[in-house]
Amino acid sequence: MANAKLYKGSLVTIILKLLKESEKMYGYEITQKVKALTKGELNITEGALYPALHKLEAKGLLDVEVIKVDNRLRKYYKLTEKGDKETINKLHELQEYIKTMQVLVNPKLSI
Amino acid sequence: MVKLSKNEIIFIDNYLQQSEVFYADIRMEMVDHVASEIESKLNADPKKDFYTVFKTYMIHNKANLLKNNKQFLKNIERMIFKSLFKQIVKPASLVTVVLAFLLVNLCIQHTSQDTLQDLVLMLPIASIVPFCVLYIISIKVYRLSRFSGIERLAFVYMMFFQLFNLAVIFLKRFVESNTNHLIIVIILSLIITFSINIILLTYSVIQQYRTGYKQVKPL
Repeated sequence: MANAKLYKGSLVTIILKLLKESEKMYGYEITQKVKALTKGELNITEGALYPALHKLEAKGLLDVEVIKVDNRLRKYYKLTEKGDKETINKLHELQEYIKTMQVLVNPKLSI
Repeated sequence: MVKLSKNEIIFIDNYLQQSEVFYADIRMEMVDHVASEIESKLNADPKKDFYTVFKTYMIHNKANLLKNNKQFLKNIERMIFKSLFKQIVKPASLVTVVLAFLLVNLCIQHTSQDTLQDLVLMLPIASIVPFCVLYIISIKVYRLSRFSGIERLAFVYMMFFQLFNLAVIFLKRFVESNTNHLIIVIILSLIITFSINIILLTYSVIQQYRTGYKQVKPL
């Protein structure tokens, strides 16, 4: 796995982006989706994912729904209206960051 | 597709409870995560058995899982204080202060100094009573599980209990000397307003759990 610290700052944006693309998702599903999309390069741990989800919930960016699935209860997360707007902002910030890093890391390509 | 049985789910739930994940709302999500991971491992290699996969998972991930528990509680406290603040700054709070002021002012004129002294001294203890009553209602009448949001409210009550205690110590000399009635009325009105806001918050938190987590049954 690549340096986890480099991804840490983008975790919230990754979560928001995935939730924007789906109607609703649960914690384990998010970890597996990220793993599949990055071909195993990025592995989000429980200790990082759930605190981030709960923080977003506390900020009112996510709504939750508890549903009984296969003998257990599952907590689904979905974006609120506020969360939808925040996702656009966060994605824009991330794109700007990537552009800036591109300039710094590979100045020739960026010209 | 391998799916865990009800007993296996209960086993995970009990294990987490014994690992001090006391609150049902936090544990529920952890149980689902662990169960999903175990099912995925069992589907990948059907020769493996539940207990071996569970043990291996816990050896590698228990610390990470419990870290989530601590962080969750911090977030819940933050959420409670944010909701309380939002409630206090509502215009309805201002109306409550005014009404409480008028009521206390009226009552104080018809109350003897000894009775007032007793009432003021009883105020901090009396401020905790609503929480105890609402907590008992949520557990016994609504039959709710131990939820983090409801139990962490006790922290808010204890904080305000200390604050009210300090206010009472400050007021005591004015009540004893029968002076500065205006200060007594203002402070008592504020205590009443804060108490009403905390009671309303407690009620709304209990209602949130009653509707959002109605499928979580106490063990």
